[in-house]
Amino acid sequence: MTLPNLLIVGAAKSGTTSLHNYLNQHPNIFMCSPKEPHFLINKEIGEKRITNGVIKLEEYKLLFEGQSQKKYRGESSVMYLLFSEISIANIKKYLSNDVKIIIMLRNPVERAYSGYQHVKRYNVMENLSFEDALKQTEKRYVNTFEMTPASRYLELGMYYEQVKAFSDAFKHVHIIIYDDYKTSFEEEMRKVFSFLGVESMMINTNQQHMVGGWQWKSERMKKLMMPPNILKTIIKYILPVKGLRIAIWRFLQKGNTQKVGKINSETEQYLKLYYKNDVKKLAVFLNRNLKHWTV
Amino acid sequence: MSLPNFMCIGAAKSGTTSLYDILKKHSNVFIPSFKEPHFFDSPTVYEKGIKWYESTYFKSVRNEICIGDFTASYLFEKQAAERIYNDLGKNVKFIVILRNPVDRAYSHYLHAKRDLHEKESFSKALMIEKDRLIEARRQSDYLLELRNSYVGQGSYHTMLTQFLTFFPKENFLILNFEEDFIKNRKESMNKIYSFLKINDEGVDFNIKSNPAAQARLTWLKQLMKKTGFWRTVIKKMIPSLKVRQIIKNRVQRANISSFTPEELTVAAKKEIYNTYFADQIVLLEQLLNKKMNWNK
Repeated sequence: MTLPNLLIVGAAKSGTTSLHNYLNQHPNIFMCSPKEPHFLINKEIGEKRITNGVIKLEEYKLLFEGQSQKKYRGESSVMYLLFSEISIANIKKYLSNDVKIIIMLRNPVERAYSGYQHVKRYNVMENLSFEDALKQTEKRYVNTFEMTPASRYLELGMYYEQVKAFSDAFKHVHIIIYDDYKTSFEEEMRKVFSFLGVESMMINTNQQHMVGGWQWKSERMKKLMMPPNILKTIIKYILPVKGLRIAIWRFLQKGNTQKVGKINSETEQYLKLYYKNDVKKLAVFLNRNLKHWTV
Repeated sequence: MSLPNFMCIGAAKSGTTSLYDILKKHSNVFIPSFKEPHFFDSPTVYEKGIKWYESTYFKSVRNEICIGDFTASYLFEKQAAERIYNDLGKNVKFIVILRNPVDRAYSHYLHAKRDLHEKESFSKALMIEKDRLIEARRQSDYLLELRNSYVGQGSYHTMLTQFLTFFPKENFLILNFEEDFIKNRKESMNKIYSFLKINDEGVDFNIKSNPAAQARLTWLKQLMKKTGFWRTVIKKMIPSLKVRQIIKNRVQRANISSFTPEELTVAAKKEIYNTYFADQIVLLEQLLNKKMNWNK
């Protein structure tokens, strides 16, 4: 068997890349690369929406090849949570009912803003201001068949139904709240390891993953730094050393980016109100106080 | 290289992390930056051997007088005391913080619940604990056993007796969580310093147990004050954003009060205490020759 038995299903912008890489440090756990194949939803939502997504089962299996001796093989496609209906059905179809599911959740208001900055940073299709993007998010997603689901800034943070669906469908579901992950990292890691039934271990946290908080200074520079696939192939041909390509990219990135500003406070209030009811339902469901997310 | 000469072995959910944070700052104390090695309780970790334990956690020990391990579940595991005795000898000192076992169990339960591991009610979870623990042992799943032992990890007399078969009473400093560690922090710290034979270096000891909880409380406190103000802001803001229809769909009641987990009623606490812990505590009080004052 070379299919995964561990899934980090979301939410996007909640620390999943960091957890993905940290779990990979454990001798009994293999986390695949690239991190987000999205195999379990790609066909259903439209194959062009997610770049670097895996479509064929054979390709999906290849990601975990040679790792069958490990207790866990995992992947972290963060859009599974949003498309819970599709992904749950496909987990049952392709994987098993015993899959271990990890869900990370971040304050949905922060998540939305960070999610917008992320898409704007890495996807040329985001060309609206945050406020305009919020207004158009669902309409734009439905009408543009290449638009990434990561642009569904509002829907992605409606956690309650998503979490409940996973919790009802599977026996082994573990939740990590981003605030805890940041403030009590070791404790949260211990709980994850305990959930997985593997021994707790010290994680090397020297490497940070997906550090955000920056934005391109100009649209032109962004387009230049996000070349279309054909150009990428040419660049790869000219500069075959990946480390060198990354170093050059980082160098250019450094000079052409700026820090992201704070969220507009009116927009923040709007989002808090928008999420308030959902957060309350989630709080009741998890039996914990999440007031600080929306007050 | 060296091995621990003192440990804080429990109970879980009773302030051991605060104590860890305080003692870690002391110049004569070495505790690994990884708080809970789980070496002497987890069978799969113990298999790796004492050399592995030493080189993994204690290789940066310099000349500190006290070398510690803060695994809060050692107290619970039946074999831990014997393993510690065999590997580290008879002189190891133990700090134990004991909290009202009902509160301890409930805190443990709330954590399990919010991680989504626990789907039963508190009273049901306590009721079926024995069966769960038998099942966990049958699967030799120690971590599951730990997660499910709400009562088990509060059976202080049983747990302490296991340790006292191997170590003399003088090796233990036992603190009452409520009366000593919370109410009289300064005095408790002095006891700990003299127990470990180190000086009070004036390390800040007013650390709140769980940093996450602390952060939440501060935000809450600050934001609570702003409630009235924000309400006005929201009212003014909504028309300008022209998004009322979406809000209407999503927010049925604009002024929903937020949710806080239920606290146990006094009656429920009493009942749980009497059903699951009373016998243990009577024995504990005899053993320690001290009243714990938890049955209130």
